[in-house]
Amino acid sequence: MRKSESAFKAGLLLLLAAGVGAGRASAVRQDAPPIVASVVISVDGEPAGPEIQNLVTLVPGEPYSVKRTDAAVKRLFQTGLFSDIQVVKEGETDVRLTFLLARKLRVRKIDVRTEKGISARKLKDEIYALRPDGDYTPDKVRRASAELTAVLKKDGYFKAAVEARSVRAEDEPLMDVAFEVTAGRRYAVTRFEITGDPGVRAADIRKTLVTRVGQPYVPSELEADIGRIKDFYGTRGYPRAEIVLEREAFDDAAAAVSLSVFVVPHERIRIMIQGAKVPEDIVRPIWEERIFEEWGLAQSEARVLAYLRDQGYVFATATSSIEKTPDEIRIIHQVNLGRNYKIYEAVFDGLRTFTAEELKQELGFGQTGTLFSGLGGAKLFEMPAQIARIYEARGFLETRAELSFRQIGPDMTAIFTVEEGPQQTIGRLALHGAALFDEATLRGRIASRSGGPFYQPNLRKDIERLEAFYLDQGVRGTTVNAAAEPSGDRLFAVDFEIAEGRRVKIAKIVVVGLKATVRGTIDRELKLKEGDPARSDLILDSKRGLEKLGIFSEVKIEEIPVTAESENLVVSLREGERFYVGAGVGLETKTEPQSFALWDNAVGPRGTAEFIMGDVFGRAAQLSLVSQFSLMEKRGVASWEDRYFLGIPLQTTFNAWIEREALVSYGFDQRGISLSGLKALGSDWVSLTTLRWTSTTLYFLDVAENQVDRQHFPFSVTSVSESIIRDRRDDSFNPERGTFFSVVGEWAYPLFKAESNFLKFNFKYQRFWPVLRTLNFSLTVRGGVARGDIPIHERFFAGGSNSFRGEPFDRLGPKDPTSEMPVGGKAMLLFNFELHFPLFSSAPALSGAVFYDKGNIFANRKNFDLGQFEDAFGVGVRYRTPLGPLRIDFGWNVRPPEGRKQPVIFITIGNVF
Amino acid sequence: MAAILLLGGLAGLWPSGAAGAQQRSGVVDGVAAVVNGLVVTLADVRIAEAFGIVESGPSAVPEERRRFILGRLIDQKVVIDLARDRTPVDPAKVGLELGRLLARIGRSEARIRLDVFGLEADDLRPYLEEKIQSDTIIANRFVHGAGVSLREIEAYYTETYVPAQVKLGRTPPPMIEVLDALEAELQAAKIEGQIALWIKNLRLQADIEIRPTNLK
Repeated sequence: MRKSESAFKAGLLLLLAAGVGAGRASAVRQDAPPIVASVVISVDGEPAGPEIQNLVTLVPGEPYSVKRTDAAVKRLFQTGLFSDIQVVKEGETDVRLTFLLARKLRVRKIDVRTEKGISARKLKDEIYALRPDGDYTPDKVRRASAELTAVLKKDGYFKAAVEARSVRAEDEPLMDVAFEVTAGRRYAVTRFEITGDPGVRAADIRKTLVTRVGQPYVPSELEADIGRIKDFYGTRGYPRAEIVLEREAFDDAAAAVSLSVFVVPHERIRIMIQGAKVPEDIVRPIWEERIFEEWGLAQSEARVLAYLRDQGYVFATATSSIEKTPDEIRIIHQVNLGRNYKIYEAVFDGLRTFTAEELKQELGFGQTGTLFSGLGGAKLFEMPAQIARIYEARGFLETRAELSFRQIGPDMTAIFTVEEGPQQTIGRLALHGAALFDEATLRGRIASRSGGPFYQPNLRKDIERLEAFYLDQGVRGTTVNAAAEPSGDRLFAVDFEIAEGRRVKIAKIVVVGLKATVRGTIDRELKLKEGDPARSDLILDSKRGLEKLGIFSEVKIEEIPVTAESENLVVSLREGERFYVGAGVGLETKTEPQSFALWDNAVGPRGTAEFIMGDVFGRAAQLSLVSQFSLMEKRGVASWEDRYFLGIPLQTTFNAWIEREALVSYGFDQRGISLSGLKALGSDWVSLTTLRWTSTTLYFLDVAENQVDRQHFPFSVTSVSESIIRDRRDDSFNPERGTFFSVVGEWAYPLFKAESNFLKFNFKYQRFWPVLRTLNFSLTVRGGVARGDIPIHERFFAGGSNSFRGEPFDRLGPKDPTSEMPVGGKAMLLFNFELHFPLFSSAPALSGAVFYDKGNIFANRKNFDLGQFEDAFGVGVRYRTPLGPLRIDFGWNVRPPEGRKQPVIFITIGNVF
Repeated sequence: MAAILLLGGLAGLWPSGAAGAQQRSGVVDGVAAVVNGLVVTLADVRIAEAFGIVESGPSAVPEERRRFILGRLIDQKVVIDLARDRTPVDPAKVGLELGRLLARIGRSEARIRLDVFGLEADDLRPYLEEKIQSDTIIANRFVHGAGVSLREIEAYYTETYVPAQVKLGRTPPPMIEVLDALEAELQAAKIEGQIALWIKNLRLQADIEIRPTNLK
């Protein structure tokens, strides 16, 4: 026995020795680790192109390990280009690795096929898991099927089946997904009871419902019905009515369902606001739920007072109470209204840290102008707390602000009395751990400073600033912490601890997703190159630049770490549609309508056709061909737009056109070419430089011919013009506040045998601002002067919906003595004043307008005479659309031509002026 | 003797599988799952398996075991991602956990396993950090425990505890004597259920793609 035990032990030892031996052998193998002999990459079964190969960070010759392979897999996945990655290994010492990559799939098309009677479009709209142009995964398809099934169930198709079929497009990672819907049978409502204690006749409730006996059962309709019953009781003063689906019993064999809805109205809520006209709706929602009544009463009273203060009753007070009976709760607000005041001014007392203007700006009412804009009463009462918060951020934690009022005549001035209290300040500020940048640079990046205000949340912002600064300098992995300790009376010592990361450089820039676009177009927009520090700000700028090209539907730039000091930039692009074709038709009248009898006027068709080709030659340039035709004009324009001009970043447009247009006193045929360069000058300013050549022939002229206005003789112009534009409007199409300014100087020189020889300047200034709370005011000033030989088609004209609304189009200014037709002028000054106001609170897009236009066109500068200004006033209606307001204006000239009694009517779409 | 046998078993059993990871031909890595855009690779699963970073489940079948481990790794990711609670983990805590893990496996054995994957001990830190983060989020969320009523304890005592004791041939003690123990047991079971339900809900909200073929 002992012998056999010894033999067993010996055997075990041998086994262990063998194990150790094997371990050693293994260790020997690990001394000479396997080497990557080759790396093969295939994408969707095809050999990968060089761009994809660049993404794999394993290279032949380096040691093989699972860790390295896994890092390569994770980097590949991080690019966002692949949905699946597999690595197959062959060989022991010389390892051959094959990366099998599957490109990420996108949804190209979703199709829902249904039986008759079910809306495929509605079902398609209910799919959220899967969207055209979104990522495709089988799981998303499963989810989309589940969504469809749920929608069908809500529509009463309880046995519906949804079968999804996905088909991959040839040669592209795009999927078409089709859902085949089999509706299955529906259940008929055989019984529909209303149980509980409805307090009214069930028949009265049923009248409001859609769900009925004998009809198919549609759960979504029943859900809406429950809402209707809730409304039924709500409008009768029972907002707490309890309505629930009590029973839903299906009989599969009979395809029937029996329903019962439980209804209890609970107590009636009566809201009584006495002493003032206040809509109950503003407090009713508070009482819909069972709440702590004291809290509800306070909330309710606060809403009533806020409403009244907003109406100008700033001294309104309320006494509130609750009265209860077994069936009813009465919420009573007894209001003492006080006088109504308009508040046009706010005064601040006790300010030391801020000026009144600074504080107004911080409070957000600096821009509206206190002289014209009434301050909302309710907002005023919120301001003391707002002021305290503003001070808090400056280290004043004990600031108190109180609101009082002072009456000046019929108006009231709001007075904010501020007790600033003591300020917490930073006694000492230190930065530790920074070696890559000097301390002065880092201090310049943060708002906190020694002697400055101390407010803990500001430190968080400074931490973010410092971390962003490091990222922008190409340093990754930096963490910043801040600690603040009291160091005296309201003094704090602030220490920023910086754990610096490492400087990271761009190893490779890999661009994927290009089809038509050439690589050079991308490189122009990339603000970094291989070997540069990986500056986050430049990476973001590069992304914005690529997006601005307007040719990609998706731009992604991923940073893929390769080593601690280097990373790859993977620029992943998806090209959008390149060709656009558009057409539009409409009607136009030959002259402005003088009455609503539009059809007395010559009415003809008007049409536009356009073809746009984007990303021409893969250079992100755009070619567009536009043609317009109508009674009065025919035009064909070819345009070439490029973001670069001879390699210089300059938005350039080259136009060539041919047109015929009939105006009031002349008609012309014109051929022309122009070259424009647009350059941003700071955040608001834009410079537009244009070189132009035109050749114009007048084909009719209803004014006397002169040296430059000769019918049938072409007049050519070569000119250079410079425009400076500043647009600070809140909305280019429907501005409500802000300014627009432009000034244009044009010099036409008789170059290349051109006849032109003139100088022309004009400017336009517009300002939009709110007046009171609901009114908007706009002002436009336009002026121009010219000298030299200016043909009629280059002169200033005015009159019409966009310049002077007391005269039809182009009819203002000097006229030919014989034909009475306008001849245009060399000097112009026009003013337009307009006030907009809402017409109906239920139709916010509709507004009314009153306007006053003043100005004139003068034959020459020396004829300029303020006494000759024409005046027009009028009224209009506007309907706000995304393209600007649809306008109807009625304009009366104060001194109309003899015989004209009716106003001039304009129907226009687009912004005024 | 028993210790020698266990060591022999560990040395003999695990490395054969681990060495396979290093040496065998075939699929050595790939995407095992994608959780809200974050990838879990086959290597992650194998490392978690080799170092016991997460539970490995009851199955002895490698593929099933890996599926189980992948499930736990996915759970961690959804908890961290969807709980939106990304409190950074104290590196010292990670260091402590790493020390415990290496001690549990044994330094020399750990070295062997690390070599199989070409790892250094510090390479395990991200795995441990994720586990600690997930465990902390769960612990914080369920810190208040679960209430257990006397009636529940009574029902458990009568329906589960007493029959189990009788089956073991013991005389069940009166309920008052085991009240605290039973309450703790029930509480733990209840919390476990709540956690499982919470994670299940998180998984339903998450975007998860599993590539089972890459686990083979």
